Amino acid sequence: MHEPPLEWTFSTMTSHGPISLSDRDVENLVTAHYDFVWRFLMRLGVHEADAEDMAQHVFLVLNAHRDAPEPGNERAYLAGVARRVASTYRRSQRRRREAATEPPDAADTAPNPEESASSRRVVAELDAILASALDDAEREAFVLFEIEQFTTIEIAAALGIPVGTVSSRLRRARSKFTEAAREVWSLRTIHMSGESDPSAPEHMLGGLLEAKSNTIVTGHFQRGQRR
Amino acid sequence: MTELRRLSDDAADPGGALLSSARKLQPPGGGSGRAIAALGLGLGLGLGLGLAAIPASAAAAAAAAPAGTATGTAAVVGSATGLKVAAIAVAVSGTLIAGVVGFVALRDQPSAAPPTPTPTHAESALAQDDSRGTDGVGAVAPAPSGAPIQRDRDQKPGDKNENVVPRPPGARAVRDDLQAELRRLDEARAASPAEAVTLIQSYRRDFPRGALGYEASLVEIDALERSGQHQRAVARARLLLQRQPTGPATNRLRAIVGAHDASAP
Repeated sequence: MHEPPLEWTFSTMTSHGPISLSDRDVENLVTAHYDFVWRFLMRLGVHEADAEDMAQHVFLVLNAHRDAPEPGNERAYLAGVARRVASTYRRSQRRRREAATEPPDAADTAPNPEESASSRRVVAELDAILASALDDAEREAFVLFEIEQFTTIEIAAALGIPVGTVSSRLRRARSKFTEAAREVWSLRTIHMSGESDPSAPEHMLGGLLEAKSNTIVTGHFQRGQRR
Repeated sequence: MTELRRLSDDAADPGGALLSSARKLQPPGGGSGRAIAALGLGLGLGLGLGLAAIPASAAAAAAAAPAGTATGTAAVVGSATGLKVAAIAVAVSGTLIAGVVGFVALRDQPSAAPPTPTPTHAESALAQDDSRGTDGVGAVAPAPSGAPIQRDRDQKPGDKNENVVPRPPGARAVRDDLQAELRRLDEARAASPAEAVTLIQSYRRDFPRGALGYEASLVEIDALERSGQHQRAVARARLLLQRQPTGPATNRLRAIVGAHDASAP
């Protein structure tokens, strides 16, 4: 990231073409980053049925504020906007849950045809661990780092916090996440070793063996059984 | 500084395996095309990419766009009737389903009025001009104020469509709030600098925890600069830097503060 010369002022920087994204730039950014924005929103708690709408909003913000991200910072900017959109979404959902008199509709998700049932279960389990083990700030940094492969510098730009804070947040999140995943894993191992009904729906990680990471996970499970 | 090791790269860890699986997830097909169409971009290419999946409401809204305001592909049929616009859109998309749905929508509404009362981005897209391409501050981008283009979710309850994904309660309210925020900032950007400052203050009162607080601050700083209130602009930039020392516009903000400090006696 380059440092601008001091004579640049806010106005001159934003009123000249090269600083503001062109139509083509925006289109390219949508094409390049749509999948990431969609995934990130969902890992931050946006319901699958709303993920596309919320992703479009993220790009609407970029389109309306084409001068907001500095060159090279576009992906981090999109992550920052997605984080704020997801936060607004969660807050609204919480308010509605608190005010609701009827239980939420459990059947409000239509399956994405490109996803298998087992991979959906894996993701549901991952989301359950993320939501229960990490606070919002840890979750944002952790998902960007672990799933979206952001560097700590990019995360700092996305979240507007110093790199040192990103690192400490990530270490804390990793420790909590690992502990929670292992607890879930050991529970499942007990179930699967015959001490209870392995077909019980409450099995956490129940779909993991059928997931795309089948081989890796099966290896884990077998090692767990031998202990 | 050494980059931290990623847990998701560790195949021997149960949590790592979970995270690794999540990396592979892909959204339903056509999402980026619909997003581009929602922004009113890629009209030449976007018709092929996006309209195939745009619901009938959007197609009919496009058909209802006022003649003479259209650009891009739609300009080809600028003086045509709404029905012709819809027919060409269908032909370009090459999707039989879209054709059937679009035809039914138009047949059921002889006045060619859109089935949904609010304008959509397809409509906004056709109405926008090219002037906003380079001047990000002074220009008004019409597209952001409309509604996003969705997969087929806004049909009436009686509609038969296997792709309908019922919206969870409250999602519409979130969408409306986010659109309202965008509109308020659009208005501020289009206003005179003095009015813009007032409009941003009003935005902050109405959306104290709004999703676009960062963007609002950037618009405000720009308005303060343009209205000659340099000291206030610097103070605002300094405050934003304190709150977000590494945000996406940090260099710009530092330049404002740095230039001021360098010129101070």
